[in-house]
Amino acid sequence: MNDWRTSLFIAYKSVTRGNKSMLALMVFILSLSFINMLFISGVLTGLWNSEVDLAINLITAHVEVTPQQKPTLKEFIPNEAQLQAQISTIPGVIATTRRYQLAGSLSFDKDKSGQMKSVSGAIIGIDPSRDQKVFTVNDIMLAGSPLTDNDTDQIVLSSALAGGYGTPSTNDLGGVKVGDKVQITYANGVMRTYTVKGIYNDIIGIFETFITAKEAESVLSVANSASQILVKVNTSRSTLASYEDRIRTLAPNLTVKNYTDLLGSIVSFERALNIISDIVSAISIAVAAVTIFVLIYVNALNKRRQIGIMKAIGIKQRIIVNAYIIQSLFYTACGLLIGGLAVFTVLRPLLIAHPIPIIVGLLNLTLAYTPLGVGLGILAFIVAGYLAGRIPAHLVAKENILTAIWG
Amino acid sequence: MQPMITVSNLKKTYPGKVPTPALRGISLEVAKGEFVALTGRSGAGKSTLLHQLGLLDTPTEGTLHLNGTDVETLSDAERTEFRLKNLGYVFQEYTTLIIELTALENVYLPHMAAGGATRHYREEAAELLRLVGLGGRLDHYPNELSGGEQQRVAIARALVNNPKILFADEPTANLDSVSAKTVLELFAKLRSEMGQTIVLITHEPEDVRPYVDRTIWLSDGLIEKIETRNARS
Repeated sequence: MNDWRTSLFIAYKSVTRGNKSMLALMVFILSLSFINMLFISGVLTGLWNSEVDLAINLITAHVEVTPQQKPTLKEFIPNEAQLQAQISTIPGVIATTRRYQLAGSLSFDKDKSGQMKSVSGAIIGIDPSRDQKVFTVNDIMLAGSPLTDNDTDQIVLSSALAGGYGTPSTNDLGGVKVGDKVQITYANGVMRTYTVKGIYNDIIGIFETFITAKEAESVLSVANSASQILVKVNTSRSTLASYEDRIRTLAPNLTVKNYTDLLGSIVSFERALNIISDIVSAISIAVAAVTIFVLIYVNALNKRRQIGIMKAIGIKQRIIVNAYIIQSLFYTACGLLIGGLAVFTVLRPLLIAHPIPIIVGLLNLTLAYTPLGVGLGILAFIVAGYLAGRIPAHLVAKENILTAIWG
Repeated sequence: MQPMITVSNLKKTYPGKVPTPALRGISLEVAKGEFVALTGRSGAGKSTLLHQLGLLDTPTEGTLHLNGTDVETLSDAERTEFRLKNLGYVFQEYTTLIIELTALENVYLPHMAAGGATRHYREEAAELLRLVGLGGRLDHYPNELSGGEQQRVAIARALVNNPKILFADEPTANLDSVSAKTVLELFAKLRSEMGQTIVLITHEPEDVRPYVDRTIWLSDGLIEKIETRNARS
């Protein structure tokens, strides 16, 4: 205890009476290193979160219920209305909707020359009024308007499928406009012609065509069924797993998955982001550690005579080394405080107030953090600060007293 | 009575391409409360001997007992602790103060490290500074003090833990004659009132003669002669 009191005293005097320019430089570099680490990891986490939100809002919802797979594979979920009503009673469930998944080919005669261009694609039957409570496709219409529940001869097309938006592709219809007629030949042989009511911005390339569930039932000759029931939940209220469990108790024969199961194909993207984030964090921490190390080492070398004198008058080596560790941790704490304040009180609020769009209307640059991530970053900086203070001080303090004093 | 310092065949050779013997077999005893001066020409081995006695360096050969402790058996940490609690050391150069500490802080730092109570060590340090004539300079930093004043602060610092043995390497070399006399009288007072053992290096044996019990002449790493007060009187 007394040793620490003496170390603290020496460190305090060294900081308050030491070179103020060096102190400012050290804290400045440490702040920049911490800001760099927080900013890059925050952007990458934010990017990942935004991607996931986008996928949830356009493709997967939070929880997906699909037909029975065992003991016999079923094509549809029966009594979907009753099941949706039951799911809606689970606390935290925000909305549910059903969808029919159909396959077919779409054909379009752009020049009215009798020569149709055909592409295959997924055709989704939706209940528009319920669907818009789960998904945000209606918010990204590029042209025309969304479907309504009673539309039976109209469709909404993906911009990627319609063509004419962005780079032409062999998988698009060559430039369909709102009001054009598109013929769909379903997998079961039914062929119908629809008027294009709207075109949505298919930013993530899902190539889907929307018809109403009413029309889908007409094509499939089914009723009160669904290929999927999709559920939007409040994730801050309960965990996804608990929602899944509650739904499974309602429909034990059906398959229940959450969006993380469904986004398996982009997990590698998250892994790549995590690796980048870890590398950037490691570099930031290494820069901070080397900075403290060099400055503390130079500082200690400049004071090797004084260190020798302190040892000569009986100040323990441990007290001297601890004094340098305290100084180093003080610089680190200042760097963390200033860096943290810069990110959490300036940079992050600024990006929230003035978002920088990555994809206009869909994806903004945001800084997202988890308490664990920030905590580990702080801990890593503190450990780096401790070692960067201890090692150089130890190297100098272990010198022979007379060598330290007289050189 | 057990001697405070017992040195037996102490040798110190500095390594190098051509090893340099600085002490070539010193044996001596210093009694508790004795005031001894070491003198001799430059290169005679005075400072080297004081460094060994003050545990600032380790001898190449020989044994050294301080206050009954065989210091060769002590670890580095134990030697530091021993220095803190038993020895005071005044360097030849006056620039041996900690530049970030005031005169008062420089003096009480060893006392603080030894575990003194805050109020106690501040008072004792201030008293010592008054004793060396620096009562009005307690809060001055080393760069605000003259060389002589800094040396007096260093002396006060060496005394703060009430050491059993005080080593001083030419403590008056940078002081004016008045200050030098004050310091020597202070040493004499410490010896007579507190029974302090003092070993001091001087180039001016005549100046310290009235105060010391023995003057030891060194030459070429060996004791050349010893003059005692009794022999003088």
